[in-house]
Amino acid sequence: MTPATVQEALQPIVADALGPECHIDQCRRLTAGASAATWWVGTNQQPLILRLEAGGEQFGTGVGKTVEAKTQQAAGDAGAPVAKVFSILENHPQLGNGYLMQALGGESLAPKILKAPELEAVRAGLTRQCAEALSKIHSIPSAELPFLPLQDAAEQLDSLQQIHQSFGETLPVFTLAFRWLSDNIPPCPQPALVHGDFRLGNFLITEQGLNGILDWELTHLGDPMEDLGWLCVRAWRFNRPDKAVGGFGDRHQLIEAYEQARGVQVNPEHLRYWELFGTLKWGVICQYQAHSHLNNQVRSVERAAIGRRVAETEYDMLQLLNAIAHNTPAEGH
Amino acid sequence: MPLNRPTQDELLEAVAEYLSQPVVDAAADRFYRRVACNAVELVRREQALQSDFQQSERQHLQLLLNATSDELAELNQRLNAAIASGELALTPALTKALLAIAELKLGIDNPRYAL
Repeated sequence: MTPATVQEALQPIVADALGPECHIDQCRRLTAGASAATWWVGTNQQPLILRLEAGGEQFGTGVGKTVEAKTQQAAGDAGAPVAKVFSILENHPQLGNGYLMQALGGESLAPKILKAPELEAVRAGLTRQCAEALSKIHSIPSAELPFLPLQDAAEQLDSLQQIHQSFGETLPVFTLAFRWLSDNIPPCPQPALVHGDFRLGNFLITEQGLNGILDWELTHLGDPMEDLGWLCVRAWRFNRPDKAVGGFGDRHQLIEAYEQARGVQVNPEHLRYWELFGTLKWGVICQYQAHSHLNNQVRSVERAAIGRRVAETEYDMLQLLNAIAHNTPAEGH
Repeated sequence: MPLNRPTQDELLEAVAEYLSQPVVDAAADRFYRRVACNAVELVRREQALQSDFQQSERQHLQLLLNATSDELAELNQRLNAAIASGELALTPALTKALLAIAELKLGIDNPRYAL
Protein backbone atom coordinates (compact mmCIF):
# COMPACT_ATOMS: atom_id res chain seq x y z
CA MET A 1 0.00 0.00 0.00
CA THR A 2 1.45 3.38 -0.98
CA PRO A 3 1.28 6.52 1.18
CA ALA A 4 -0.91 8.16 -1.49
CA THR A 5 -3.45 5.29 -1.35
CA VAL A 6 -3.61 5.50 2.43
CA GLN A 7 -3.96 9.29 2.41
CA GLU A 8 -6.75 9.26 -0.16
CA ALA A 9 -8.70 6.48 1.57
CA LEU A 10 -8.19 7.96 5.02
CA GLN A 11 -9.07 11.64 4.36
CA PRO A 12 -12.89 11.17 4.56
CA ILE A 13 -12.48 9.11 7.73
CA VAL A 14 -10.32 11.80 9.33
CA ALA A 15 -12.81 14.50 8.32
CA ASP A 16 -15.63 12.44 9.77
CA ALA A 17 -13.85 11.84 13.08
CA LEU A 18 -12.14 15.20 13.63
CA GLY A 19 -14.18 17.65 11.55
CA PRO A 20 -14.22 18.68 7.88
CA GLU A 21 -11.43 21.22 8.41
CA CYS A 22 -8.97 18.47 9.41
CA HIS A 23 -6.64 17.68 6.49
CA ILE A 24 -3.97 15.02 6.15
CA ASP A 25 -0.66 16.43 4.94
CA GLN A 26 1.52 13.35 5.31
CA CYS A 27 1.31 9.55 5.59
CA ARG A 28 4.41 7.54 6.46
CA ARG A 29 4.71 3.84 7.26
CA LEU A 30 6.45 3.37 10.62
CA THR A 31 6.89 -0.35 11.06
CA ALA A 32 6.50 -3.45 9.00
CA GLY A 33 5.40 -5.73 11.82
CA ALA A 34 4.20 -9.19 10.95
CA SER A 35 0.70 -8.74 12.30
CA ALA A 36 0.15 -5.01 11.90
CA ALA A 37 1.15 -2.12 9.69
CA THR A 38 1.51 1.15 11.56
CA TRP A 39 1.23 4.48 9.75
CA TRP A 40 2.10 7.95 10.96
CA VAL A 41 -0.56 10.39 9.78
CA GLY A 42 0.25 14.11 9.93
CA THR A 43 -2.67 16.57 9.81
CA ASN A 44 -3.11 20.33 10.16
CA GLN A 45 -4.56 19.68 13.66
CA GLN A 46 -2.81 16.81 15.44
CA PRO A 47 -0.68 13.79 14.53
CA LEU A 48 -2.50 10.47 14.27
CA ILE A 49 -1.59 6.79 14.13
CA LEU A 50 -3.27 4.29 11.85
CA ARG A 51 -2.95 0.58 12.66
CA LEU A 52 -3.92 -1.83 9.91
CA GLU A 53 -4.12 -5.60 9.86
CA ALA A 54 -1.17 -6.87 7.83
CA GLY A 55 -2.44 -10.39 7.34
CA GLY A 56 1.00 -11.86 7.99
CA GLU A 57 1.96 -14.69 10.29
CA GLN A 58 2.29 -14.14 14.01
CA PHE A 59 2.65 -16.13 17.19
CA GLY A 60 -0.61 -17.14 18.78
CA THR A 61 -3.95 -15.83 17.71
CA GLY A 62 -4.23 -12.06 17.86
CA VAL A 63 -7.74 -10.73 18.42
CA GLY A 64 -7.91 -8.71 15.20
CA LYS A 65 -7.68 -4.96 14.83
CA THR A 66 -11.31 -4.03 15.53
CA VAL A 67 -11.41 -5.97 18.81
CA GLU A 68 -7.98 -4.55 19.69
CA ALA A 69 -9.37 -1.04 19.20
CA LYS A 70 -12.50 -1.67 21.27
CA THR A 71 -10.40 -3.08 24.10
CA GLN A 72 -8.02 -0.13 23.99
CA GLN A 73 -11.05 2.19 24.20
CA ALA A 74 -12.40 0.32 27.21
CA ALA A 75 -9.00 0.58 28.93
CA GLY A 76 -8.92 4.30 28.22
CA ASP A 77 -12.44 4.74 29.61
CA ALA A 78 -11.26 2.99 32.78
CA GLY A 79 -8.48 5.55 33.16
CA ALA A 80 -5.47 3.61 31.86
CA PRO A 81 -2.99 5.65 29.80
CA VAL A 82 -3.75 4.70 26.19
CA ALA A 83 -4.19 6.61 22.95
CA LYS A 84 -7.73 7.80 22.28
CA VAL A 85 -9.32 5.84 19.42
CA PHE A 86 -11.02 8.15 16.86
CA SER A 87 -12.31 5.67 14.34
CA ILE A 88 -12.55 1.90 13.86
CA LEU A 89 -12.35 0.55 10.31
CA GLU A 90 -14.20 -2.65 9.53
CA ASN A 91 -13.70 -4.22 6.11
CA HIS A 92 -12.80 -0.89 4.53
CA PRO A 93 -12.53 -1.47 0.75
CA GLN A 94 -8.96 -0.12 0.52
CA LEU A 95 -7.67 -0.29 4.08
CA GLY A 96 -9.33 -3.43 5.46
CA ASN A 97 -9.57 -3.71 9.25
CA GLY A 98 -7.83 -1.20 11.47
CA TYR A 99 -8.22 1.86 13.61
CA LEU A 100 -7.21 5.47 13.78
CA MET A 101 -5.95 6.91 17.06
CA GLN A 102 -4.19 9.79 18.72
CA ALA A 103 -0.38 9.81 18.37
CA LEU A 104 1.04 9.87 21.90
CA GLY A 105 4.54 11.10 22.65
CA GLY A 106 7.25 9.27 24.49
CA GLU A 107 10.17 6.87 24.20
CA SER A 108 9.43 3.19 23.56
CA LEU A 109 12.93 1.73 23.19
CA ALA A 110 13.66 -0.29 26.33
CA PRO A 111 17.47 0.22 26.51
CA LYS A 112 16.99 4.00 26.28
CA ILE A 113 14.27 4.01 28.94
CA LEU A 114 16.49 1.97 31.26
CA LYS A 115 19.56 4.17 30.71
CA ALA A 116 18.56 7.78 29.96
CA PRO A 117 19.74 10.02 32.87
CA GLU A 118 16.76 12.35 32.40
CA LEU A 119 14.41 9.39 33.09
CA GLU A 120 15.94 8.42 36.43
CA ALA A 121 13.06 9.82 38.49
CA VAL A 122 10.58 8.22 36.11
CA ARG A 123 12.22 4.80 36.57
CA ALA A 124 11.92 5.16 40.33
CA GLY A 125 8.14 5.60 40.06
CA LEU A 126 7.48 3.32 37.11
CA THR A 127 6.69 0.16 39.09
CA ARG A 128 3.92 2.01 40.92
CA GLN A 129 2.58 3.50 37.68
CA CYS A 130 2.54 0.05 36.06
CA ALA A 131 0.71 -1.42 39.05
CA GLU A 132 -1.86 1.40 38.98
CA ALA A 133 -2.42 1.07 35.23
CA LEU A 134 -2.81 -2.72 35.55
CA SER A 135 -5.23 -2.26 38.42
CA LYS A 136 -7.44 -0.06 36.21
CA ILE A 137 -7.24 -2.50 33.29
CA HIS A 138 -8.00 -5.51 35.49
CA SER A 139 -10.97 -3.82 37.18
CA ILE A 140 -13.03 -3.47 34.00
CA PRO A 141 -16.00 -5.86 34.36
CA SER A 142 -15.51 -8.67 31.85
CA ALA A 143 -19.21 -8.40 30.95
CA GLU A 144 -18.28 -5.16 29.17
CA LEU A 145 -15.90 -7.11 26.93
CA PRO A 146 -18.04 -9.92 25.49
CA PHE A 147 -16.01 -9.85 22.25
CA LEU A 148 -12.84 -11.12 23.97
CA PRO A 149 -11.83 -14.79 24.18
CA LEU A 150 -11.24 -16.42 27.56
CA GLN A 151 -7.64 -17.67 27.69
CA ASP A 152 -6.94 -19.03 31.15
CA ALA A 153 -3.83 -20.93 32.19
CA ALA A 154 -5.20 -24.34 31.16
CA GLU A 155 -6.27 -23.17 27.73
CA GLN A 156 -2.96 -21.41 27.03
CA LEU A 157 -0.85 -24.32 28.30
CA ASP A 158 -2.71 -26.59 25.93
CA SER A 159 -2.07 -24.43 22.90
CA LEU A 160 1.56 -23.66 23.88
CA GLN A 161 2.25 -27.37 24.28
CA GLN A 162 0.82 -28.13 20.85
CA ILE A 163 2.97 -25.43 19.25
CA HIS A 164 6.05 -26.60 21.18
CA GLN A 165 5.55 -30.23 20.19
CA SER A 166 5.09 -29.32 16.53
CA PHE A 167 8.78 -28.28 16.43
CA GLY A 168 9.90 -31.82 17.23
CA GLU A 169 12.71 -30.89 19.66
CA THR A 170 12.82 -32.97 22.84
CA LEU A 171 13.51 -30.44 25.61
CA PRO A 172 13.19 -31.97 29.11
CA VAL A 173 13.17 -28.57 30.85
CA PHE A 174 10.15 -27.48 28.81
CA THR A 175 8.45 -30.76 29.67
CA LEU A 176 9.19 -30.20 33.37
CA ALA A 177 7.75 -26.68 33.25
CA PHE A 178 4.65 -27.78 31.32
CA ARG A 179 4.10 -30.59 33.80
CA TRP A 180 4.47 -28.41 36.91
CA LEU A 181 2.40 -25.53 35.50
CA SER A 182 -0.40 -27.93 34.51
CA ASP A 183 -0.39 -29.59 37.94
CA ASN A 184 -0.39 -26.30 39.87
CA ILE A 185 -2.81 -23.93 38.14
CA PRO A 186 -3.81 -21.31 40.73
CA PRO A 187 -7.52 -20.66 41.21
CA CYS A 188 -8.83 -17.64 39.32
CA PRO A 189 -12.41 -17.05 40.45
CA GLN A 190 -12.80 -13.85 38.44
CA PRO A 191 -11.28 -13.66 34.95
CA ALA A 192 -10.24 -10.10 34.12
CA LEU A 193 -9.14 -8.10 31.11
CA VAL A 194 -5.49 -9.07 30.50
CA HIS A 195 -3.31 -6.90 28.24
CA GLY A 196 -1.22 -9.92 27.29
CA ASP A 197 2.05 -8.17 26.41
CA PHE A 198 2.55 -5.64 29.23
CA ARG A 199 6.29 -4.80 29.25
CA LEU A 200 8.93 -2.29 28.15
CA GLY A 201 8.78 -2.03 24.38
CA ASN A 202 5.02 -1.58 24.59
CA PHE A 203 5.17 1.50 26.84
CA LEU A 204 5.57 5.13 25.83
CA ILE A 205 7.61 6.90 28.50
CA THR A 206 7.96 10.66 28.89
CA GLU A 207 9.61 12.64 31.67
CA GLN A 208 6.19 12.54 33.36
CA GLY A 209 6.18 8.74 33.33
CA LEU A 210 3.97 6.11 31.70
CA ASN A 211 2.23 8.02 28.91
CA GLY A 212 0.84 5.19 26.84
CA ILE A 213 0.32 1.42 26.77
CA LEU A 214 0.63 0.10 23.23
CA ASP A 215 -0.01 -3.08 21.34
CA TRP A 216 -3.25 -4.64 22.53
CA GLU A 217 -3.22 -7.44 19.96
CA LEU A 218 -2.71 -10.28 22.47
CA THR A 219 -5.42 -9.05 24.84
CA HIS A 220 -7.88 -11.58 26.28
CA LEU A 221 -9.83 -12.47 29.41
CA GLY A 222 -7.85 -14.48 31.93
CA ASP A 223 -5.97 -14.43 35.21
CA PRO A 224 -4.88 -10.84 35.93
CA MET A 225 -1.66 -12.13 37.53
CA GLU A 226 -0.59 -13.12 34.01
CA ASP A 227 0.23 -9.45 33.25
CA LEU A 228 2.27 -9.03 36.46
CA GLY A 229 4.19 -12.26 35.88
CA TRP A 230 4.96 -11.39 32.24
CA LEU A 231 6.36 -8.03 33.38
CA CYS A 232 8.86 -9.95 35.56
CA VAL A 233 10.11 -12.36 32.85
CA ARG A 234 13.86 -11.90 32.56
CA ALA A 235 13.78 -11.29 28.78
CA TRP A 236 11.96 -7.98 29.48
CA ARG A 237 14.58 -6.77 31.95
CA PHE A 238 16.96 -6.17 29.04
CA ASN A 239 20.36 -5.12 30.43
CA ARG A 240 19.10 -4.93 34.05
CA PRO A 241 18.51 -8.55 35.12
CA ASP A 242 18.91 -7.47 38.77
CA LYS A 243 15.67 -5.47 38.57
CA ALA A 244 12.98 -8.16 38.41
CA VAL A 245 10.14 -5.89 37.36
CA GLY A 246 10.81 -4.86 33.78
CA GLY A 247 14.45 -3.93 34.50
CA PHE A 248 13.38 -1.07 36.79
CA GLY A 249 11.63 -2.39 39.92
CA ASP A 250 11.38 -5.09 42.56
CA ARG A 251 8.68 -7.72 42.95
CA HIS A 252 7.67 -6.63 46.45
CA GLN A 253 7.19 -3.03 45.22
CA LEU A 254 5.00 -4.30 42.39
CA ILE A 255 2.91 -6.46 44.71
CA GLU A 256 2.52 -3.71 47.30
CA ALA A 257 1.54 -1.05 44.76
CA TYR A 258 -0.91 -3.39 43.01
CA GLU A 259 -2.52 -4.43 46.31
CA GLN A 260 -2.96 -0.77 47.27
CA ALA A 261 -4.36 0.26 43.90
CA ARG A 262 -6.74 -2.66 43.48
CA GLY A 263 -7.60 -3.45 47.08
CA VAL A 264 -6.80 -7.15 46.76
CA GLN A 265 -4.24 -9.50 48.30
CA VAL A 266 -1.55 -10.87 46.00
CA ASN A 267 0.01 -14.20 46.79
CA PRO A 268 3.70 -14.02 45.77
CA GLU A 269 3.58 -17.72 44.79
CA HIS A 270 0.78 -16.83 42.39
CA LEU A 271 3.02 -14.18 40.82
CA ARG A 272 5.90 -16.68 40.60
CA TYR A 273 3.57 -19.15 38.83
CA TRP A 274 2.92 -16.57 36.11
CA GLU A 275 6.57 -15.55 35.88
CA LEU A 276 7.44 -19.19 35.18
CA PHE A 277 4.51 -19.41 32.78
CA GLY A 278 5.70 -16.28 30.96
CA THR A 279 9.26 -17.61 30.75
CA LEU A 280 7.99 -20.85 29.21
CA LYS A 281 5.85 -18.85 26.78
CA TRP A 282 8.84 -16.72 25.76
CA GLY A 283 10.81 -19.95 25.24
CA VAL A 284 8.14 -21.26 22.89
CA ILE A 285 8.11 -17.88 21.08
CA CYS A 286 11.91 -18.15 20.58
CA GLN A 287 11.41 -21.61 19.10
CA TYR A 288 8.58 -20.31 16.95
CA GLN A 289 10.77 -17.53 15.53
CA ALA A 290 13.61 -19.91 14.73
CA HIS A 291 11.33 -22.44 13.10
CA SER A 292 9.59 -19.80 10.99
CA HIS A 293 13.09 -19.24 9.54
CA LEU A 294 13.92 -22.95 9.33
CA ASN A 295 10.69 -23.86 7.54
CA ASN A 296 11.21 -20.95 5.10
CA GLN A 297 8.17 -18.95 6.19
CA VAL A 298 10.34 -15.92 6.99
CA ARG A 299 14.05 -16.35 6.17
CA SER A 300 15.95 -14.10 8.59
CA VAL A 301 19.29 -14.29 10.37
CA GLU A 302 17.67 -12.51 13.33
CA ARG A 303 14.96 -15.14 13.67
CA ALA A 304 17.51 -17.91 13.28
CA ALA A 305 19.65 -16.46 16.09
CA ILE A 306 16.67 -16.15 18.45
CA GLY A 307 16.37 -19.95 18.39
CA ARG A 308 19.55 -20.17 20.42
CA ARG A 309 18.06 -17.94 23.14
CA VAL A 310 16.05 -20.99 24.21
CA ALA A 311 19.05 -21.83 26.43
CA GLU A 312 18.41 -18.60 28.37
CA THR A 313 14.79 -19.54 28.98
CA GLU A 314 15.76 -23.04 30.16
CA TYR A 315 18.14 -21.48 32.68
CA ASP A 316 15.48 -19.00 33.86
CA MET A 317 12.82 -21.72 34.18
CA LEU A 318 15.23 -23.87 36.18
CA GLN A 319 16.05 -21.01 38.56
CA LEU A 320 12.34 -20.68 39.33
CA LEU A 321 11.70 -24.45 39.43
CA ASN A 322 14.72 -24.90 41.69
CA ALA A 323 13.29 -22.40 44.19
CA ILE A 324 9.94 -24.18 44.02
CA ALA A 325 11.59 -27.60 44.54
CA HIS A 326 13.34 -26.20 47.63
CA ASN A 327 10.06 -24.73 48.95
CA THR A 328 11.76 -21.34 48.99
CA PRO A 329 9.07 -18.69 49.55
CA ALA A 330 8.57 -16.50 46.48
CA GLU A 331 9.99 -12.99 46.68
CA GLY A 332 7.41 -10.44 47.77
CA HIS A 333 6.22 -11.80 51.12
CA MET B 1 19.14 -30.78 27.40
CA PRO B 2 20.48 -30.83 23.86
CA LEU B 3 21.69 -27.76 22.00
CA ASN B 4 18.79 -26.17 20.16
CA ARG B 5 17.95 -25.57 16.53
CA PRO B 6 19.25 -23.88 14.47
CA THR B 7 22.28 -26.19 14.41
CA GLN B 8 25.68 -24.58 13.84
CA ASP B 9 25.43 -25.37 10.13
CA GLU B 10 21.95 -23.83 9.92
CA LEU B 11 23.24 -20.72 11.71
CA LEU B 12 26.14 -20.32 9.28
CA GLU B 13 23.75 -20.82 6.38
CA ALA B 14 21.56 -17.98 7.72
CA VAL B 15 24.62 -15.72 8.10
CA ALA B 16 25.82 -16.48 4.56
CA GLU B 17 22.34 -15.85 3.23
CA TYR B 18 22.23 -12.44 4.88
CA LEU B 19 25.72 -11.44 3.70
CA SER B 20 24.88 -12.37 0.13
CA GLN B 21 21.77 -10.19 0.26
CA PRO B 22 22.11 -7.46 2.91
CA VAL B 23 19.39 -4.86 3.44
CA VAL B 24 19.92 -1.41 1.93
CA ASP B 25 19.14 0.68 5.01
CA ALA B 26 22.44 1.40 6.81
CA ALA B 27 21.09 1.29 10.38
CA ALA B 28 19.21 -1.95 9.76
CA ASP B 29 22.31 -3.42 8.08
CA ARG B 30 24.42 -2.55 11.14
CA PHE B 31 21.89 -4.36 13.33
CA TYR B 32 21.76 -7.50 11.16
CA ARG B 33 25.56 -7.57 10.86
CA ARG B 34 25.86 -7.55 14.63
CA VAL B 35 23.35 -10.40 14.84
CA ALA B 36 25.28 -12.31 12.16
CA CYS B 37 28.59 -11.66 13.91
CA ASN B 38 27.20 -12.92 17.23
CA ALA B 39 25.93 -16.06 15.47
CA VAL B 40 29.40 -16.77 14.08
CA GLU B 41 30.90 -16.27 17.56
CA LEU B 42 28.32 -18.70 18.96
CA VAL B 43 29.32 -21.32 16.37
CA ARG B 44 33.00 -20.85 17.29
CA ARG B 45 32.19 -21.42 20.97
CA GLU B 46 30.12 -24.46 20.08
CA GLN B 47 33.01 -25.96 18.13
CA ALA B 48 35.39 -25.36 21.00
CA LEU B 49 33.11 -26.48 23.86
CA GLN B 50 30.70 -28.97 22.36
CA SER B 51 32.50 -32.17 23.27
CA ASP B 52 33.10 -31.10 26.90
CA PHE B 53 29.48 -30.02 27.17
CA GLN B 54 28.19 -33.31 25.85
CA GLN B 55 30.45 -35.31 28.13
CA SER B 56 29.15 -33.48 31.21
CA GLU B 57 25.57 -33.74 29.98
CA ARG B 58 26.04 -37.51 29.51
CA GLN B 59 27.40 -37.93 33.05
CA HIS B 60 24.60 -35.92 34.65
CA LEU B 61 21.91 -37.79 32.74
CA GLN B 62 23.38 -41.23 33.43
CA LEU B 63 23.43 -40.40 37.11
CA LEU B 64 19.89 -38.97 37.15
CA LEU B 65 18.45 -41.92 35.24
CA ASN B 66 20.68 -44.58 36.71
CA ALA B 67 21.47 -45.53 33.12
CA THR B 68 24.55 -46.76 31.29
CA SER B 69 23.67 -45.76 27.72
CA ASP B 70 26.17 -43.44 26.03
CA GLU B 71 23.63 -42.15 23.53
CA LEU B 72 22.72 -38.55 24.41
CA ALA B 73 19.60 -38.52 22.27
CA GLU B 74 18.37 -41.68 23.98
CA LEU B 75 19.22 -40.35 27.45
CA ASN B 76 17.33 -37.12 26.75
CA GLN B 77 14.32 -39.05 25.43
CA ARG B 78 14.30 -41.14 28.60
CA LEU B 79 14.65 -38.09 30.84
CA ASN B 80 11.83 -36.40 28.96
CA ALA B 81 9.55 -39.44 29.27
CA ALA B 82 10.34 -39.83 32.99
CA ILE B 83 9.46 -36.17 33.62
CA ALA B 84 6.30 -36.30 31.51
CA SER B 85 5.02 -39.42 33.29
CA GLY B 86 5.83 -38.03 36.74
CA GLU B 87 8.28 -40.86 37.43
CA LEU B 88 10.91 -38.13 37.95
CA ALA B 89 9.23 -35.56 40.19
CA LEU B 90 10.31 -31.97 40.76
CA THR B 91 13.00 -32.37 43.42
CA PRO B 92 16.10 -30.38 44.40
CA ALA B 93 18.25 -33.22 43.03
CA LEU B 94 16.60 -32.97 39.61
CA THR B 95 16.77 -29.17 39.36
CA LYS B 96 20.37 -29.14 40.60
CA ALA B 97 21.52 -31.53 37.87
CA LEU B 98 19.54 -29.74 35.17
CA LEU B 99 20.82 -26.33 36.30
CA ALA B 100 24.38 -27.59 36.04
CA ILE B 101 23.73 -28.66 32.43
CA ALA B 102 21.88 -25.39 31.68
CA GLU B 103 24.86 -23.33 32.87
CA LEU B 104 27.27 -25.28 30.69
CA LYS B 105 24.92 -24.89 27.74
CA LEU B 106 24.84 -21.11 28.30
CA GLY B 107 28.63 -21.21 28.06
CA ILE B 108 28.01 -21.91 24.37
CA ASP B 109 24.79 -19.97 23.69
CA ASN B 110 25.31 -16.84 25.78
CA PRO B 111 28.23 -16.89 28.24
CA ARG B 112 27.34 -13.51 29.76
CA TYR B 113 23.85 -14.60 30.77
CA ALA B 114 24.14 -16.70 33.93
CA LEU B 115 23.63 -14.72 37.13
